[in-house]
Parts: sequence; structure tokens; C-alpha cells
Amino acid sequence: MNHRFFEERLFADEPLPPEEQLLLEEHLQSCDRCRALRAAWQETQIELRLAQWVAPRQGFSQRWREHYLHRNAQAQQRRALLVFLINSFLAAVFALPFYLLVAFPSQPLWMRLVIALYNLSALIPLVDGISTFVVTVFRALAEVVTPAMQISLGVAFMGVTIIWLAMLRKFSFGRLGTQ
Amino acid sequence: MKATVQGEGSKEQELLWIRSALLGDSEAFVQLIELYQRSVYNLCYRMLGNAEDAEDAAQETFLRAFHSLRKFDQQRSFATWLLSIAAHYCIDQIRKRKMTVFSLEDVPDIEFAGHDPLPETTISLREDQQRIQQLLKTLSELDRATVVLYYWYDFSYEEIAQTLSLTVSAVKSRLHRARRALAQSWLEKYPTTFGEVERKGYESPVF
Repeated sequence: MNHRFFEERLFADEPLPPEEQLLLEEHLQSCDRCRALRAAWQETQIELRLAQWVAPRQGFSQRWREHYLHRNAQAQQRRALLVFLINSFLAAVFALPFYLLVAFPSQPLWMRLVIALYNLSALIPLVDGISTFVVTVFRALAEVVTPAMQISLGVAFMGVTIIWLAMLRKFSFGRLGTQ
Repeated sequence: MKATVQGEGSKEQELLWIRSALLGDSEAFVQLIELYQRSVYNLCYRMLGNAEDAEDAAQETFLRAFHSLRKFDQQRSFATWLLSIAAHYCIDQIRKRKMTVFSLEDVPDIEFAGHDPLPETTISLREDQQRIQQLLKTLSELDRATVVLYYWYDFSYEEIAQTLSLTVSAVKSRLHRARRALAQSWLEKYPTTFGEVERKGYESPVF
């Protein structure tokens, strides 16, 4: 039998069968190396068994509270930035059709809208306040946009508003269980 | 023989705190922290080897536990689940930072659980800690976690396997290898006791 056999038994967790224990004891009498390993392991075991528990400094849970609040503040900042970016994107998506109307006025219906919008921009300094501007916009839209398109735009606007409110709820107010 | 997981209290009270924490009550979770801070910190300290990293790891463990409390199976032991998060976090940290070198300079910062502050006692305990940490640092991160859970927490093979996501046979094999490595390190570090024997052993034609 080689050293591996005896070394495996030296570090075994469970008690050895009597015949193996006897073989091991015989081997230990003639093998300095295994005897030294066994003695070293016994010393190590004593160290491990007697080792003390180490405790954190006083105020660990208070530091955790601060840590938690700091992390929450960071997460809220990230969420606010995300909401801002998503809303900016949606605003851009809404503005795009109007930009296209101005940039590519090839179709007669769109051209009329462009003219109406240009007229509106000319009216801005003249008319009396934002309300007139908004009323004009709606009138202009009513002139050029078909009723079906008006309904579609209204539905789309409501959809985006719902998405926006859902995002505000999800990202700005945090999740339940993490506050 | 050391106690098992320190702070382990009434199961019913613990479940009440867990349920309150699940409803968003962070103060209920603070009660769980009070209960398990020493267990988690001690594991982190044994794994990472210095007080500062152990504090960060223990804080992070509780943050992760709080955020993933919904994933906790209430049929299981909360202590095992918590120590599993701590052990995996420490293993990741060691792998990331390649923390093979232990700083022993900050050993005086640590506090020993349940001991009087007599200077001579403290010095002796610090020396013991140094010896143990020197031994532990010779082990790989998983072997180290296995040894710590076995000798400090009195975990069974099954509990260690569950905590470290290993098989029971892998735990046994790692423990066996770790014991041999620890004994070998002891021989190398304290040759005065065994030096003569060890030298003879190496000269043996068997090796």
C-alpha cells in the first residue's frame, strides 16, 4: 500500500474501520512524513475548532440603513434619467410627422397643412396668447385631417399618455418591497 | 465546539420579519440584520481576510438579500440562504480582485464576539486570527468557503452543498483536499515542531 492510501485515511472525516485503523497505526510507526502530517493536522484542527467568531464594528445595521438609502437615491436618479430619455424619445416620435410635413410637402393634403402651420407661425406674434394659437392649430388640423385620421391621432395620443403614466408609476415611484 | 449559525432565533419571529420585509418594511429587515450580522460578517471576514472588505461584503450581502427576498423559499433556512449569498459574493470578489494576499495589518480593527477587552486576551486572540487567516489563505476560494462553513458553522455536507451550489461528493472531496493543504501549510509555517520529521519525510524515497 502506498502513501496515498494512508494519507486519504489521515484526513478522513468518519472513523476508520478497525482493520484500516490498525494498518494506519502500523504505517505511522514507520513513516516520519505521515506522522508529521498527522500531528500538523491535529494542531490545525485545534486552531480551527478554537477559532473565535469575528464581529462587525458597532452600528452595522445603522450603516446598512445609510447604505440602503444611498443606493435607493442612486437608483431613483437612474430611473428619473430613464423616464426623461424615454419621454424625449416619444416627443421626438410625435414631432417627426410634423417635421416630415414641412420637409416633404409633396402631397396636396400635407401641403395644405404645411401652409396652415406656416400661417400659424406667422400668427403667433400677432394673435392674443397661446389659446388662440391652440384653437388655430385645431382648426387647421380639422381642415386638412380627415375624421378617421383625427380619431386615429386621438387614440394614439391617449395610448402614449397611458404608456407615459405607466412608466412614471413603474420607474419613478419604485417597486413595492424595496422602499 | 462552536455554536451553529450565531443569532439564529425563533423561526416564527424570523418568518414574521421576512413577511413584513416582503411588504416593504425595511425596519423588519433591520431586525434580521441584527440577528445575522455576526454570522454573515464572520464568513466574509474568513473568506476575504480583512475587516474593511468583510464589512463591504456583509453590507452588500444584506442589500442583495433584501432586494431578492421574494426569491427566498420560506420552507428553507433563512440563515443558509443568507450565507449562500455571502459566500457566492465573496467567491466572486476573490476571483475578480485576485485577492490572494491577505492584509494582516488591519487585524487589530476586528472585534471578537463575546470576549472581554483585556489587552492580553485581545493580543492572544489576534495572534490566533493571524495564524488562522494565514492558513486559510493557502486554500482556493471554494475550498476556503467549504472549510469555514464546516468548522465555524458546523454545517453538514448537505448544507454546505446547498450553500455553495455543489454536490455532496464535491464537498467531501474539497474538504479532504483542504485538510491536507492546511496540514501541509502548518508544517511549512511551523517547521520547528515538525522540521526534522518533515525533512526526513521529503528525503524518503517514497516521495
